[in-house]
Amino acid sequence: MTWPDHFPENCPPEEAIPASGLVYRLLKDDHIQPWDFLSHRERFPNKNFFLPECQVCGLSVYLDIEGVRKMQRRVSSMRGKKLCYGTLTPEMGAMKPTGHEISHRTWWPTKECDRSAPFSLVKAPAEI
Amino acid sequence: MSYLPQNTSLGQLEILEVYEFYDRPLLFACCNRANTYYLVVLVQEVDEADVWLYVATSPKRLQHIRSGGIDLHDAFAETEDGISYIVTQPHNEVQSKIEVVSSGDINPAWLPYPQEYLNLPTETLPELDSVERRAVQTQRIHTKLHLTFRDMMRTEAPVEALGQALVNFQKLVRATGDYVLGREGSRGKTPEPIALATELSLVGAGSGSFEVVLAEVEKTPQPNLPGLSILEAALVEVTNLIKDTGDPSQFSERIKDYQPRLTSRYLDLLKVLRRHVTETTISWASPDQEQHGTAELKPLAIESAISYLEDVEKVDHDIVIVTGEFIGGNSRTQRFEIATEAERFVGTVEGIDPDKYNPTIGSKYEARIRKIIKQRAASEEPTVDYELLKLRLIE
Repeated sequence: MTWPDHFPENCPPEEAIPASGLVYRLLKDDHIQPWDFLSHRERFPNKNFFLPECQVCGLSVYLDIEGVRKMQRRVSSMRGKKLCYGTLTPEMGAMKPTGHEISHRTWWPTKECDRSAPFSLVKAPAEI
Repeated sequence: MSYLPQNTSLGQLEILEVYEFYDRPLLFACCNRANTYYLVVLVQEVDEADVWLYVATSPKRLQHIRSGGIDLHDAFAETEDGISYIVTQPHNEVQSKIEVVSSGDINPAWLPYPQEYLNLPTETLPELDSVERRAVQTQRIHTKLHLTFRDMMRTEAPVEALGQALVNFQKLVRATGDYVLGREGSRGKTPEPIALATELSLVGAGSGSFEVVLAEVEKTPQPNLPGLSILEAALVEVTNLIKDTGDPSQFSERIKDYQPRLTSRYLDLLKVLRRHVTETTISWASPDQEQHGTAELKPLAIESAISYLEDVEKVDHDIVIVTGEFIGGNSRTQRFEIATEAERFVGTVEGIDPDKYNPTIGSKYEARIRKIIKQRAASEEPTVDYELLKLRLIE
């Protein structure tokens, strides 16, 4: 398992476990595209996020829809976005709970994995 | 290029805490070098820029927002100074744009939904100085009660529960003062000198769930307690009692010589703690720095001690021979009631063949009676039962 070249040292963190299980992720448009699975570091290579670098190299996923909904209730810019779901496997990287929301995970994908491959659109609306 | 606006009237910002994160912070608190706090939420994402809503907030208000006292909608809609900042942060190198608007003019669709609370445990009181330091500074014995009240997100305490805990702790200390002096008996009011010597005064409250600091009201030297004041001796005993509460055999050994009043006071305190508190720690210190102590009470220990105190009882037996009039009872009920000039004995018949037990109401008898005295550990008054062992007709 190898990690993308831009990951800092000791990233993913030691306590991250192999990725696994059903997860949800928000989409920019109404269809799944590779852009949706780029980390913020990959989207903005030169931006200063004032956060640990490893954190911004990861991708946010939720273990359940309620976690997504709760975030959307609080953050207006995330409302109205479509949702996709997929099952991660250990070959796809590592993940770890991050933040206060118990269903939120940061997923660090491996260099080799096709990140969007296992994901499908959630047909029911994600909006709350 | 920066995530936070740079070189703006908001100052030099740094993120304090992130409340919602999705690939990057979406809802967070930050502050500038002048310690102005802001609550921030991402309200729009467009290809060229992110648009953020910044509201200034006082530290106290931020504590309340964080702990769920104020919902996120109101945190942004009902700002303290009526002003909000719309910050447009381009993705390229161009300077951020800041628009100052009235909070009432913010697009409602930008706001968090009502009834969305953060509900994060938050220290809303300053941390207290250690009891050791306070004792030396004030030359008074200090005691700190650290109480974690159920379902409290801020450093607050429900008044009734706190009041009950403090009152019962004071009563325990007073009763322990009585005990350590070796005063005979447990009845009657605690003598004034002991009550005064063990009286505590509330001198502060602080963070760490909820902490209260109590100090002695009056210094009272006590000649028959070498090197210790009554209060010190009482607190030593209370600390040891609490420590032993976690070990059933040590606990029963410690309380076996306690006066009923003392165990009763401890039981009352334990019941209050069981009802309202998940964690309790008591610490105390004397000004001379030689005397101090700390002890912790866990829920399981409290439960076990309450069960023990409510169940255990001492039993004493005594045999009395009385002469009196038989005034009640018969062979069917196997009960008796005999009245002497001074007393009345009522109870059950034991050790007499039921077929031969045929007393006559109004006749005089000599009765051999077993007197059974039961004293529960936490009860101040014993109960007395009687058993009729033998009955001899006199006239």
